Amino acid sequence: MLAEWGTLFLALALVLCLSILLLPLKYSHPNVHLFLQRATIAYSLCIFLALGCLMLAFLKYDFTLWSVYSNANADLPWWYRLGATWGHHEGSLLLWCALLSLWCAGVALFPRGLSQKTHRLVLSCLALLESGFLVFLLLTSSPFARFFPTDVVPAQTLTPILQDPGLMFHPPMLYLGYVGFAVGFAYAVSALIEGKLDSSWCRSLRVWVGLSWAFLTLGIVLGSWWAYRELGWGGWWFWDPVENASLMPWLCATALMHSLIVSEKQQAFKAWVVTLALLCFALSLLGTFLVRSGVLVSVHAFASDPSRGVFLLLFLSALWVSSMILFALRAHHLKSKHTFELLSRETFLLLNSVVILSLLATVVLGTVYPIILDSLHSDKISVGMPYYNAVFVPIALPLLLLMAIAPLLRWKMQSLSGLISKIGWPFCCAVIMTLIVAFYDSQSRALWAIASLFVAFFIIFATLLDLYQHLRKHALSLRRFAMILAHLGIAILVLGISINKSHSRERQVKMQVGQSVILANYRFTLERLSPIVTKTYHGTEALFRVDKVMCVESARAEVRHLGPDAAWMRRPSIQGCIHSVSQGSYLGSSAGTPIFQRLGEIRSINENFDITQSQITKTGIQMTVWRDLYIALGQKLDKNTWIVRVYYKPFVRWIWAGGILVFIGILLTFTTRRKSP
Amino acid sequence: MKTMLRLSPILLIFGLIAALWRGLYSNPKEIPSPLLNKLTPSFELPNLFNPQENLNNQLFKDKVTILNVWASWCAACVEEQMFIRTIAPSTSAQWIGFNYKDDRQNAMAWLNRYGNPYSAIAADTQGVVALDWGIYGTPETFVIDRKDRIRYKHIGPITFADWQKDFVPLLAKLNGEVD
Repeated sequence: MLAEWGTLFLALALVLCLSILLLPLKYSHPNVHLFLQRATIAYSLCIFLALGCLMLAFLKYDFTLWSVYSNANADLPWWYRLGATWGHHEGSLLLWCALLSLWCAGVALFPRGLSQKTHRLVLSCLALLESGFLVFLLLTSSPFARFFPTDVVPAQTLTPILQDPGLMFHPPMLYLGYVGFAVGFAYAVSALIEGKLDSSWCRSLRVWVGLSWAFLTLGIVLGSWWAYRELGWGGWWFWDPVENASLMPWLCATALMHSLIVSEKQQAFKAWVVTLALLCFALSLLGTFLVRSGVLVSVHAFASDPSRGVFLLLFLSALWVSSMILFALRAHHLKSKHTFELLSRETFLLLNSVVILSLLATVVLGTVYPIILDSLHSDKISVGMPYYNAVFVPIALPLLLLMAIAPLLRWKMQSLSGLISKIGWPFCCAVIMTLIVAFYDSQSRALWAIASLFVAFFIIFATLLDLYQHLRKHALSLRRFAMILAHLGIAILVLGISINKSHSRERQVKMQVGQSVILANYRFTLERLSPIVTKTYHGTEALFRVDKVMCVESARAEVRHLGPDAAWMRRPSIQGCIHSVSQGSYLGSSAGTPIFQRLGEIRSINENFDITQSQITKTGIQMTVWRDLYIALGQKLDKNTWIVRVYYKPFVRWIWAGGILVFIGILLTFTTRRKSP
Repeated sequence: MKTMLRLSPILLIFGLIAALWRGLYSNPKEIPSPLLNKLTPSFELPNLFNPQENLNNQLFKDKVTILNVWASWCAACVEEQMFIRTIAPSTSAQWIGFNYKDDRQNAMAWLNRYGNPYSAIAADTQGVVALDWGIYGTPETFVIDRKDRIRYKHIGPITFADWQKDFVPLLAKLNGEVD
């Protein structure tokens, strides 16, 4: 019965959405507004009930449902079954609809200073979007489709790579961010139709877009962390088209949020804000299309058939084109009266938008180009890391510079001498810090490494100075603090990325029990291989012992850490010691003797999933704030020999820590109480 | 005029939509083999039924060959085998099996159960030769001409439609080719 209830709830939600759309917008009886609000909350409730039905079906093993049959089996623990609710195309689309309706209900409940007319327009527009997705769900990918097996066959199971705690959090957070931009879209459409856009509109939009921006940030961070642990290649960002699909709206939302500040406070950039709000949702739709239609090969792409893609493409083209036409016809009504000088915070925020949009363009190009090329029947290519390193990084660095300077500027007009006196100290400190690092650490001397270290330090010093100045004047608002936190988060992220990139080490070796491998100044010894059999897989667990290697220079009896490129290492005695260590002889040479300090153990498991016939690696990671040691047990070569990949990943935790800080910063901006206009 | 100017980005959007539309109907997993029209990579593999005997590129000499990659652990291969079994006797080419990353006992049991249309089967237990051939999954099928060149590669199980559309004309052409 659950499935029938679920379908019924979805149909009911669709009817409610359509009723909202069919009510004439001009009809201005006060009850109409009340109806819109209540109907929105009602359809939201219906969709969540449907989602609940699907979850129950998964929990209760209702194998007559195709989605349950093909994604769960009796041995899957309950929390993965819950996650499996959205671990496949149909379910993830239902989650998408549910989260969209959650935002709709939020907008219905909290008009936040919008006029009744605007509020009605926004709710109708959201109902239009929701009904589009509901039709898609019901027509092409119903999660409640029945399936009656003719004989007893072993059930399929959730793709092994999804059997991870990440599944519980990453998709809902990411989707919450993705679909939240629908609210921005609805706001933009309402502003265009009405031909006006005021401060309360901006404030209200800032909250909705900001919240989705925050969740998208968290979703991306969680996804990155999951990929790092699960894929077993030691990377935290792969420029996978689907990762790009989430980065594109994120970048656009970043530009939008910063422009909204100007619109709200200075009544400027109005048409620009509307453009960005439309673009933001257009990009999330593009992302959905790329992920859900199967035009791409990716870890995220579920098996799919073209009919789904056709529907999605029609839906998104209709939205794109109609919003573009609406914009072309109506945008001139949104007049920005404000003027500002060349050197002012407005200019810098405008520059910020421009640079972010160029960044966005590089990502869009990199993502869509292979598809365009393929559609012209020319070539199959894939765009990857080298392209983005060459194109993305040089644009991102100036953006970070702007980010350090802009918060220190005044609105409207800023004198050049004032600016120089403000950024003088942070600039000098950053230069000195960068020089110090580059002097002591030969691996940070590449141009890009120096540049990124410098901008990271510059942001840190500039924001700290800002913090200090506000504290001294007792004028630190929570909103300002939130901004400082988010900017510091970005700086930490950049530091993490830069150091991780320049100092990471990896080796892929054949190993047998008892053998060891040296990477950076760590020794990994394969101590034991033991078979593991569970209900869902059988596998092999490898136990590695980790030692820190140090060389003692006997002439000076001095113990120092064996940094890979430190100057003292070039001394012949120490080199001899290192050489002997890496050759597997631990006796040392006459002048230098290696010491091994036991750090602990790392376990990595190679899992063979019986049902899906697939093999994945559970990586073993030993982490500290400064570095991760990361081992992935690869393929078995023969009875005793395995391929092992070992990684040394310094500062990798900083990347996610920075992301989390950005998330907290964004959330904090909403805790400020609304000033009465 | 200004409105027309503002409408111009829509053209761009239409271009993107058209590309995405085309993208929907092309299979991203289908990658043309770089080995097409090249000589077959040389190999030396044991015969599945008689491990002492080695098979090599001599197999393809002066014969049009269909090389079918399969494994007993591959579910799609069963489906394909049902089809191959029906058409193999009437095919104007020899069928060679390529047993990929498989256990010998399992493979023989599988053939007993689902039929053996092949005139010889090479067993690549480690999947090393498969690397040279660019094989990355099962089932895959190569069509090789009399001069030992790979002329076609099919990925995934062969269906009746594939057979009619891709294989039959090609085999007719290859058989018609004079040395």
